[in-house]
Amino acid sequence: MKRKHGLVLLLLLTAAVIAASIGGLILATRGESVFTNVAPLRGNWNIDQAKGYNRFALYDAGDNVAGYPLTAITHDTQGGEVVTFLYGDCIPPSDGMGGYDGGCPPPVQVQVWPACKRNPASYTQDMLSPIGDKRTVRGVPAASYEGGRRLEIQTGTSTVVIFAAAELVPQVADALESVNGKVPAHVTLPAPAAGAMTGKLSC
Amino acid sequence: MKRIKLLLVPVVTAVALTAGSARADFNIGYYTHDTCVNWSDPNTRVDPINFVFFQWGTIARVENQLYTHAGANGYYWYDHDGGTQYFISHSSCNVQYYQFADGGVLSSRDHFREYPIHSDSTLGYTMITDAHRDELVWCGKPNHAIKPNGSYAGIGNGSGFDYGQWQLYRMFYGQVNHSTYQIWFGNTQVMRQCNGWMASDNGYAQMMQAHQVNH
Repeated sequence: MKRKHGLVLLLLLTAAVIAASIGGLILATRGESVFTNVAPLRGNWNIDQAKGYNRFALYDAGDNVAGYPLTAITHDTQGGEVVTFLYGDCIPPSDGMGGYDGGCPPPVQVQVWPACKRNPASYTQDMLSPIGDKRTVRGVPAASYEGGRRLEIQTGTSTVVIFAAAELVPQVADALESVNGKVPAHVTLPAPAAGAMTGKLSC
Repeated sequence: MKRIKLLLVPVVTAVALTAGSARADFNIGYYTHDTCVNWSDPNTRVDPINFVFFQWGTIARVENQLYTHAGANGYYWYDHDGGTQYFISHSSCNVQYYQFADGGVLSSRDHFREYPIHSDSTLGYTMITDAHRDELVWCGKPNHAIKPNGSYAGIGNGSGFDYGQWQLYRMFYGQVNHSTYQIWFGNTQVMRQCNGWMASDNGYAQMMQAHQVNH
């Protein structure tokens, strides 16, 4: 009798493990797996800090863009100040042994630089720098790089850099709106400041 | 074993270098990728390309000169373990050739992967790499992650990508026939790490001359 109970218990435990595994796999396909040991994004800034910022105009793509929510904001002081608005998340590539190997880019990123630090002249100082495909976006000069997966827009004293899949970039560009100003989405952006296109704008 | 599998690569590369010697362009992808399947999807990006050996940046010379100058600085980049990534050259996706690190996979270390692109009439033999500083972190098991921007005050508040670039640079800095300069790539896309850190490159690639004569 005792042996029979033991067998039933073993079967129940096995069934529970299988059910948990299937549940985990289902979640994994949605990028929310309990088995992924990926920590949440660690931004170092929040939207209120961005709204109160006054060194140069910041732009994001709203609370959501192309189906991705705003997930983190970073404020970096490397090479001047750079603010990045990140949308969506990703799971780093697997190392095939239950761990991760390297990083991955959240799918939509709006990175705002002071135009005195990053501008079209940054690309003309050496013949090996990438060559942009010039265009007009929201009424201001812009250049596309990396097969359309990077767009750099010159507006006021800011350079707005969009990183995303090429098919999403126009949608993100159209959604850009002021974070610390009054420019709404979809409208013409302020023209570049004097010297912003030629690298002669001082910081 | 990994190296044996890659024995064919030098042969293919040698042919490519010969065939491409008349080309005078530099057409690369600015990131490594975790796969060649659908590599044009930016979600496959892993590390920024931030260090380029030129003139005689061949497989043998980069290895020889790295060992010599790193050794002179007290560093030994003799570890070759780590995951496989892929490089883009002229819209073609290619597996990395080799990798070097100054520590094993279960330690924090400076690390780069390399891929030799075609010979360029301006640059000569050219090797593109993804220098970075791996930090040993815990993500359910030991893993590597790149420290975020602002982590290294001594190199302008840079990230682990910038630190790895600087570590490689300082192995060669000031050495005869290793001239160096920076060029702007603008590859500053943020890469999230398994522990939640977010790191990006400073957007500049360090160009480093490799010379013809081995040490």
